[in-house]
Amino acid sequence: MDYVIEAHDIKKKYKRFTLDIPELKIPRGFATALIGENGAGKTTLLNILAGILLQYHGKIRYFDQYTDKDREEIPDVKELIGYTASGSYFVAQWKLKEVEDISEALFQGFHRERFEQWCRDLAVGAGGWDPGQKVASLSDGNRMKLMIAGVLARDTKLLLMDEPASPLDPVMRDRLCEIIREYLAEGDGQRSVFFSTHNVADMENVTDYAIIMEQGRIVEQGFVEDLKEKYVLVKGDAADLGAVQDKLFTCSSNQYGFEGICLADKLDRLAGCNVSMERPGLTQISVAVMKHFSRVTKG
Amino acid sequence: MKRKLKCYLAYTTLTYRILGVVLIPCAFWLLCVAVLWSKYGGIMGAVQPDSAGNYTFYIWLCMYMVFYEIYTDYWVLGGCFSDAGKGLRYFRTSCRGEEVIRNIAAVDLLRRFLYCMIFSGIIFLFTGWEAVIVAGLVMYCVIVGVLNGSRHYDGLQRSSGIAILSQVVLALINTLNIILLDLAEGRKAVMLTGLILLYGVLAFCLSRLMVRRIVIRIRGGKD
Repeated sequence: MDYVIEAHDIKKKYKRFTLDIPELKIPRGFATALIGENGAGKTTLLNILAGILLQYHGKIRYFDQYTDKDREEIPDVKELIGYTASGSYFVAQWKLKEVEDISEALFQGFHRERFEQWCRDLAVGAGGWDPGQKVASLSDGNRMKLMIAGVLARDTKLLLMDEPASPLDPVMRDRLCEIIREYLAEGDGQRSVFFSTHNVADMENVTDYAIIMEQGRIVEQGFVEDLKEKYVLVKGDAADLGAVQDKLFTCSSNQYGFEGICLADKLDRLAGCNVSMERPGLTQISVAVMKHFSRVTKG
Repeated sequence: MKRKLKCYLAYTTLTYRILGVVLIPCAFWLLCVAVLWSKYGGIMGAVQPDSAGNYTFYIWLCMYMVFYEIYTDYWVLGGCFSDAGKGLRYFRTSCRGEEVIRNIAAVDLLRRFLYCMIFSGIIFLFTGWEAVIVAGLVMYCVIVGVLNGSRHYDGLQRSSGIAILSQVVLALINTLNIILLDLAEGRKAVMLTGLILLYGVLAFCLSRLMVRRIVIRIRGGKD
């Protein structure tokens, strides 16, 4: 297995939060989703990987070739990485023309015509390419589209995207999934995407590999198909809840019945119980894992 | 220099360049000329060497310049030393970010330096080139010093406060200069040269500090 990013002993301490990741491996050629609750450390991790946040401990290796020191010293490394932030990183007073100009000054592989085409395709702002339109006049969704257009206008091999789906409408989320698929397909196995998301359901059809974080730690990771084999969705009537509740990984119930997630290798515990089993979706798996480790008071 | 200028032009908005870099200063240059004209009956013969009027006008001009620079800077790099780091996050995504921001900061400082020299040149036109340079350097040092403070705040209220406080510093520096020049009666040229050296070094150090701090914001990745 090839990895686009390999990180070891990543630590970043804040006053009330510590990111502590002994090992992180992001497979090359795939779309990897970073899932976790608010404050789990997703943005911190992405900022460290993108070189936005430089004060941390640990070692990172990119493209099986460059270290994190190289990332700051060899221009090629950051040229190959496209990063979109959770908020806009463009100065609000800039017009689209100025975003284009400064991007051209910052990145050797920035293509103006490609940027303008992506702005048209994604209907940034008023719908067409309007160089006079200000970043400040764009909605959150359009600012995200502008950042996406900016990274797609470059020759990158890795996209790091912090919550790209959150400000987008459902149609654009669907388009985003298409864009990610096209980006990976055109890369011939050499391009990778690593994105954080809360919208697991919307992004599920583009996710190949998932990493679930809680309280600054990685609590689960693997290829989606493997995770779907690892966990089983269990359903049953409310009357049977008492018999199975303590055997499930997580469980939620109402007056009619219950639904829970069980580890596949512990299914034998449910022998004799009146339950039905299904293959879970990534959303159900991630919610179950997050609930299991969450600090949020269980209802 | 072409690349530096290209970075500056790409970073600054057209509105800022038209209004902040061209129209407002031009309007004020014209106003300077008009005031001097009406006061002395013509700029060419009006501004006399060692005229007290020149000095009052210069101090008034410095006050204006500090506010003008702070407010127009807010448009471009205002709050860039603050944690929000206005727009600097994008620069960190590129290896050229440090070079580009250094170029922007350098051209920005060069523009300020030229404006200070032009303004002091108008007032001390006939006082001698040493006086023009000293006055220009003092104006430049105060402005850059103030910006070193105001760029920490992503808002105009605190920056305005710093600008008001800077007037005290400005008054103290100018008073010191007058005392020193009075003390050096007969050796004024030597004293002026000394002041040029002193403020020249100070201007250089403040400029270096300014560029360095913005580069550290990129390099240090403090967030």
